[in-house]
Amino acid sequence: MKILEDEKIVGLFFERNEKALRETEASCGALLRKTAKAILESDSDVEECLNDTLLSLWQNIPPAVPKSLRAYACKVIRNLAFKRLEYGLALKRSINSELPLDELEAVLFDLKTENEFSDVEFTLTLDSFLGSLSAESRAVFLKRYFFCDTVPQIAQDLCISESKVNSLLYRARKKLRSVYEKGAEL
Amino acid sequence: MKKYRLSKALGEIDEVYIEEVLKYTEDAAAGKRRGIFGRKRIVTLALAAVFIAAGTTVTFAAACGGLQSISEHFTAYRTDIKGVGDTSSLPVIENAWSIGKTMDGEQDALAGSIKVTSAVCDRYSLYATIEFNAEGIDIPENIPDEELTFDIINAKSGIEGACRPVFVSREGDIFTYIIHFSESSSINGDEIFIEAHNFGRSCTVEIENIGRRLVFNSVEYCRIKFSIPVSDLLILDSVQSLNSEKIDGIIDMDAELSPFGFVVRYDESQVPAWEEAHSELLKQYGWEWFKYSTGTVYSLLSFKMKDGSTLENVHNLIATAESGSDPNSGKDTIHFSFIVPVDISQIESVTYLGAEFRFDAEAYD
Repeated sequence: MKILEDEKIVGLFFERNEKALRETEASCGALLRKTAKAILESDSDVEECLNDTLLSLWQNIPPAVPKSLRAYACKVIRNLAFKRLEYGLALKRSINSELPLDELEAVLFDLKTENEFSDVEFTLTLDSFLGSLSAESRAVFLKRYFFCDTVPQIAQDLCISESKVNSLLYRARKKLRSVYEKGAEL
Repeated sequence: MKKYRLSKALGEIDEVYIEEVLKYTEDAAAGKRRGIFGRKRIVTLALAAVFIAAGTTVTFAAACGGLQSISEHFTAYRTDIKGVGDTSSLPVIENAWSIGKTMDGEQDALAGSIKVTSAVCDRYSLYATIEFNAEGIDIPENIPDEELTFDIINAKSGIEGACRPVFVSREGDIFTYIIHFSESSSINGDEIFIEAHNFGRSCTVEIENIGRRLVFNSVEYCRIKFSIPVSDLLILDSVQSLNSEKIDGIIDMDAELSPFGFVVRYDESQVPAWEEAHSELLKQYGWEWFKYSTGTVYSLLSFKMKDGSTLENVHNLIATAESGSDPNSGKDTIHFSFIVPVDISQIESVTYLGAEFRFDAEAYD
């Protein structure tokens, strides 16, 4: 099956052509499954998340015009996977214990100012922080905390050593904390 | 604390960042598939003869035509390097440009065309001379030749970077420039794709409520694409340091020297310990390791020459300093590129951050 380019698939969404859904799955299904699988343990949960993601894309494009369809879809499936994870936590179902979430949340642990940010400010500050990183640090940071990849996987994907990944993550977390500390002072 | 607040906020970040990571990962995988470009060659002028004798498309006459003015350019550059003890003793390879290949650009402009008259590189930097034919472009007579340039020239694939070309000379409609791209990772790929944007000059203008700002005024809006096949590049040899050193007793480091730059390799995992040990100093200047190790407040670099002389403050020779990683060793790197090609066979050692790295480069014929 020939895979269409992102722009053409978005065009199909705008034409309300259901082929858009098949093309999206063909184009980035593997990436989306991998993204959800990094957060959820159950394969059936992952498949449900993928279906919900395709539905969400169908409902939101248009009016949404993704800058990158695969990046947009990754955001959607990650958010859906998180909702499902929280639901599982609430029900005290087993969850993926390997997630790097706690190491990221520890950045703001004991930082009383966290709640002084609105959700929008919180994300804007995060955007600004990401913009201040080098491309390599940003790639490592997002692979770890957006895609929830393991350190060995990141090292292998980016052709760098595991010690370098750990070091870049350590420095990025330190910088992130200082960004939120400074933000709260303003 | 709200559960997973940061993690959830990451789900709302700009898609551009996510696309960048996906692309970055693909590029890294592609780089791995291609293999790391690591050929090393000994530079001799005999190679020039081989190029020409082999009947390649080297336009020796064209290269020689620009050689005089380029030599003059670098002689002027050399004498303009501030603070180096005796600039006349700085061994500049003025004939490094005598070898090259002419390639016509794939034209995408209303007027004007570019050809590369010579290109030369080491593993981390590319220098090339280009000729821009401005025939058909109406250039105002009141603009001095040396002020005319391109707004920006980008390099993609093979080597990434952007530069503003340095004016060398003008003969009629032909403008000659030097372009220089540098990065901390080795050049790889089959071709380096280059795009020149907009021909004109920089000037200062007064903007209401803002003040004086430097802006670029285009004489001709254009985008001219051209490429340099990596296999046709002359790659200047580099040498590894004979010794490795421990910076401040914490960071293990070794080095590499080429005519176009000096590279240090170190273990990134040792940096936090170094930063911890130097926290007071770093706080004082608002620095971290990279800023410290590339900063010019300290006399970072000096060359000890084989004739016994020493060149201090050689950091003024540095065009750019970039961090990266060495795919072979996995170590982090800082790459300092030189603004003039240096005959490294005359250098016995380079002192950096107090550590002396010794080299034994072969002499150039």
